[in-house]
Amino acid sequence: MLIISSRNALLSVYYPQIFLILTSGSYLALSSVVALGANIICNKIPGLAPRQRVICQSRPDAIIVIGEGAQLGINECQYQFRYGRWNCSALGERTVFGQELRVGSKEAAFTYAITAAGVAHAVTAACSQGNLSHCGCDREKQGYHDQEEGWKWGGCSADVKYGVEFSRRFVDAREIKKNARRLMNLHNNEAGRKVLEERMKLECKCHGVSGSCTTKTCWTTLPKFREIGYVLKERYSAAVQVEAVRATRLRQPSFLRLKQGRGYQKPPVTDLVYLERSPNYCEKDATTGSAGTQGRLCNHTSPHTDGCNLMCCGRGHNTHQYTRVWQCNCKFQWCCFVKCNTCSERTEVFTCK
Amino acid sequence: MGLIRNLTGDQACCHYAVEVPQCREACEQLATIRSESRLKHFLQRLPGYCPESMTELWTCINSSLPGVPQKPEGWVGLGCCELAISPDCRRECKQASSKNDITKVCKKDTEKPLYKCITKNEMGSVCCSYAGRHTNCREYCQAIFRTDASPSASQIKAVEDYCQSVSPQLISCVSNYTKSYPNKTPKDSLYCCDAAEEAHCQTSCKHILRTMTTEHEIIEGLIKECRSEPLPQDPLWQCFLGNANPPPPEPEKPPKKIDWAKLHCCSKANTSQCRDMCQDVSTNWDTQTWQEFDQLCEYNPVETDLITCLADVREPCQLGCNDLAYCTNFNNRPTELFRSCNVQSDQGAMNDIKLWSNGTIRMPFMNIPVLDIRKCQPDMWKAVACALQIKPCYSKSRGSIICRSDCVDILTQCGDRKRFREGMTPERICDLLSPTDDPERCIPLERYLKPSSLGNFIEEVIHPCNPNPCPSNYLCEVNRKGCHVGQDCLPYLCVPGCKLGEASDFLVHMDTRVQVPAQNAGLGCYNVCTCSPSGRLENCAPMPCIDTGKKCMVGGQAKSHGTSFRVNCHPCSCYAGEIVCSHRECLSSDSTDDQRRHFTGLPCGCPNNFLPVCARNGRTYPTACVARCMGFNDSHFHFGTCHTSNPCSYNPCSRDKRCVPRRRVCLTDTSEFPCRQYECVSRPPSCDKTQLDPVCDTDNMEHPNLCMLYQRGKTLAYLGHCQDACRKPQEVCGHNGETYGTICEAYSERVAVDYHSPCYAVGAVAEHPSDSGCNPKHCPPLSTKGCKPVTPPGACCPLCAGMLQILWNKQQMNAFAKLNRNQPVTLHDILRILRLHVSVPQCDIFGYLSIDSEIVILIVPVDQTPTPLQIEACSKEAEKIDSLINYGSPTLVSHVPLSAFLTSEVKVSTISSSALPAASPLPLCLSLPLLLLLLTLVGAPWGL
Repeated sequence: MLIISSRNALLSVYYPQIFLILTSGSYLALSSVVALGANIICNKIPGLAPRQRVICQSRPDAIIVIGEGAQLGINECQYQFRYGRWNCSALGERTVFGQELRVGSKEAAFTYAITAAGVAHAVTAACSQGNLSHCGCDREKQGYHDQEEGWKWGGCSADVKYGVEFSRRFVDAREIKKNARRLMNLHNNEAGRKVLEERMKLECKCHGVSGSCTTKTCWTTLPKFREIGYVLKERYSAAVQVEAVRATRLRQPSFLRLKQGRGYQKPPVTDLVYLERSPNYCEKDATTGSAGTQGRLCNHTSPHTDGCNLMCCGRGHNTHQYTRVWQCNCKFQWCCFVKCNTCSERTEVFTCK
Repeated sequence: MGLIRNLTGDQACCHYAVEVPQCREACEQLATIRSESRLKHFLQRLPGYCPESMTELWTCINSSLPGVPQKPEGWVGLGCCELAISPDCRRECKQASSKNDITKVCKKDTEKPLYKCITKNEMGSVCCSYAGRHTNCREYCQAIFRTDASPSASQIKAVEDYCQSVSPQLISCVSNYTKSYPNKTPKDSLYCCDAAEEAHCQTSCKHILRTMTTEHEIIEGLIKECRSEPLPQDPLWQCFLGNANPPPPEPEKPPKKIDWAKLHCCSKANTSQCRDMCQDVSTNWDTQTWQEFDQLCEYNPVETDLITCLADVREPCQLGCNDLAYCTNFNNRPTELFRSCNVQSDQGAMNDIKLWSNGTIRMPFMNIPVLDIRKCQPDMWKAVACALQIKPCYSKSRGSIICRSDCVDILTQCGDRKRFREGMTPERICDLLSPTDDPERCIPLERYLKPSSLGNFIEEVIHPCNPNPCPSNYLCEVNRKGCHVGQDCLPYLCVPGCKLGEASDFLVHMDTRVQVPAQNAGLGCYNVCTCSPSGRLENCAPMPCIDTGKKCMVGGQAKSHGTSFRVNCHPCSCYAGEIVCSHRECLSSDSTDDQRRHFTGLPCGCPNNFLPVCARNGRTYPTACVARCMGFNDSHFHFGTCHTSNPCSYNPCSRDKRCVPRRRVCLTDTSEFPCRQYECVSRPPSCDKTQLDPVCDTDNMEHPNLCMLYQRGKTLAYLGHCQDACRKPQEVCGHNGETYGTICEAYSERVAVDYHSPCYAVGAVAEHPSDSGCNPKHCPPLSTKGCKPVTPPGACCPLCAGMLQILWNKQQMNAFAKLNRNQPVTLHDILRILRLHVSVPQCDIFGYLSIDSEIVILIVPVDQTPTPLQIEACSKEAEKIDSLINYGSPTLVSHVPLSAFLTSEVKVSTISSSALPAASPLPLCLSLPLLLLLLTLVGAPWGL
């Protein structure tokens, strides 16, 4: 039994040095256990390159936004190609950036451009909403007053430069192999981000009697991502075929040139580029990554790609029936609300065999 | 006996060393040392860091070291023996006299719960030994350590109450324990599991976090069970990633993620512990306090106000339920209130039933063994699961609880008695889960055992924003203005809004101003911010802080800040030590019958003549006597109504601008913030043609918005579409005592019509009207037969509507005006914001400032001949808003200037039962004696 009663005796046996070692030793033991560390989750996320994992570990808050941005791109891709034989799907493991196409086709070009733009878009949006540390509103666009035009910067201008730079740092880190495909992907990533930068909008708010514009404050905002989707879809249709040129010394692909062009003409920065021709995406094919069109919905009457004839590649289709319910005949009632009826209809859907 | 037994207690002593950092640091090491010899060594050196003058510290350390008298009743771990897994260990534990006796039989790695419990009890015995011979204090202290769950807030409070005077050491020792409990474990991330999309994944996630310990195991388990690789776009993994601390080298701390709406609620906590924890949870979303908060506060009856407030922010109580696929009996109920009528909860109910079919209902603090619920009362169980998920709520109690008799009933029939813990009966379980019997506070299951009696004729009352059709970051607003020609016209609009803090899901409208608790400041300090077009709260300015600790003395009783009470006929509220009461005129008990008969309730006992004067707050008062009584001196009002006087007659505007009358009633001080009745407009050079806010000019021509009307040089008649009914002038008298040219003009100012002629009299203001100049013959017939009408104060005619009388704080209104560039706060501001809270398009909001300066709100069916169901819906809307005001719910009082509301009284029109559709379930159920029993679950569903 030890009961401290005599302080004097205790003071005589006092070794400060040993004590300090003891203290520092037990500090380590005190560090708290985190439930689930970012390290281990980041190591398990499928489809990340080593440098991307490092970013993930140091900025777990940013990886969430990146994931959302990539998903934004994937969803938009699926929307844009909802009527095509290729509906933005591919065989293989689902990664952060969706399922990857093996062939360096126009479709692959589109997916790279749209995910790079999606990440830049999401990061910029998260910055201006205050959801991400280290960034915020565009500091350059503050306070400036244009007397002639009668407006000044106000509110929170989206910092698209930061978003684009972040996308460049993260998305481009995915290209680790030194091959032609790398050059193609990097080019398309950049093209996607360029589209976003070009489409930034100036929005203004008028201060005056309801709706009048005697004075106004303005700020830049992100475009709706749908708009980016449409622009990139156009670029997809006008994509140009390129080939890689090997530098003489290193025997490695070092830049791209237009296949149809004369001499060493480089593709324009804003164009989407591809290396190989696309497969027809009719059947499931592991070598190209095509998922095939079996089970896809098709339009019985359409003569276009969403029509059953083209979509099903001549295999024919199945018919299913169901009842559709929606709000209809909405009318404004005095006073003051909008009244709708509920309508229903028996409809048929068709899927490819 | 080993030293280890008491070591943990030492840490409690260290707070005596706060002022000497080196001593504190050294002291804290004490608790981490595991070997006896090292400890001896260490203690010998301690005085070098902690001088002997620190008597309190040393007394504390001495007393927590071995040698303190042991309790006679068995050894310290005796209460834990039931936790032993192997029977041998259990037997050994019961016979032991110290921990050393069991170490051979009870393996440390297999009997973890047992050893954890023993450690806890050891700590308890140290703490509680401070109680000495004070048995009450000791018993409450021991109770804290005895439970196998974490101690409840009420238990902690009891210790504080009983031991404060006995031993401050004990209090600090106990609070040291309660603060550190529980340790940071994977369990703190349990809330992440709710983010998983699949129910199967949710359950296995919780199981995994509860049972596995290493990160690696957990992640492998999650990947396997949820069949998903950790993708950062998956909400489940997002939650874990967001929760994960970046590894140590990261120099910066992640910014605080604040939820202002929840922070608002924290002031409602009754215990300081829950308040601190609530603030922690709301200001720093990344913290691990969640689980702790759930355990200590979420199920604590003392904290009902706090929990209800949080529930209101998370899932506001809204009218109507529809579109459910599993809980179909909840569909088509447009006049009942629900918190969570959506597809996810519907799915959740189905999953709960699946889980319960395994024979056990898992609750956060107990497991209830049940028979096969697929055979025993399956309909009842379905109703239970649905009720707990869909969460019907009442405007008065606001909790979602099942009635006690239902609970007893179903457990008596389907509880598996053989597996009940000793001493458990259905009644006891139900007492714990559902302490209330009040039919206005619990959900009678009977109501949901069959489909709604209304059938499918839901067109009468709709609720387009419930379930919410808008994407996140968008607010759903009832469409009350129609659409551009040729556009898709839906009964709702999705408008962008601002989150109330990064971590909040609660949105406010753009350009509105909100009041949020100031960070790093006291409880009564708030900032007023604007929701800017970028979707963030900006331009925050501090309000003057108020002292919420100050109490009001009323009739010898102390009332705390924010409480409401009545003095005579006055509703009153205590605001920072000041009593704010209405200006009503009350009858005293010694009034004669004659006085009673002639009592009108007009202020200062003024006669009920009608010789209107217009005061400079923009309101018309019936006589000069009343205006004087309300504090206006003779230069502050002029004869005639406010609408007949022309504010532009002496043209106050500069030459290039046009003077346009703009009538308003100001709630702020008129000398400090002038209540201008006009506006100077220049002919605007450009207008936004796409902005749809139709207005009608005096020539009956419609313009898309006000700007276009001015651009065309026209004069405004009323806001809204031009109406055929208002083509010809037909004078009406509004409830505010103003005569309007047409109904449309009155509606445009959000004033409801009293009767169809120019105003000629003032009605009774008192609650029991007796004498007034009104002639009932002039009143229009009631809109619906069988409705019990309400008569607004000062009005002549009754109407079928829901009515609120709101007491408000002028001081606060003035503060808001000061922060808003000295713009006065008007009644219209209030109506505009309150209108957004009316979720049924068949009801609209009107209001006026009563003669005695209360805000009167009417929620009226918009249909000319409303159905009983529509009147009921409007009444429910009124009750909903009333309770939001009286509970000070942040969903309402975050909005400036509604934050200045103090208390509200509601009166609603009821429909006599003969007028209702045949089998309305509501009144029937309330009369049944069967339906009383409940399960207190506001936030979390039953189940794992």
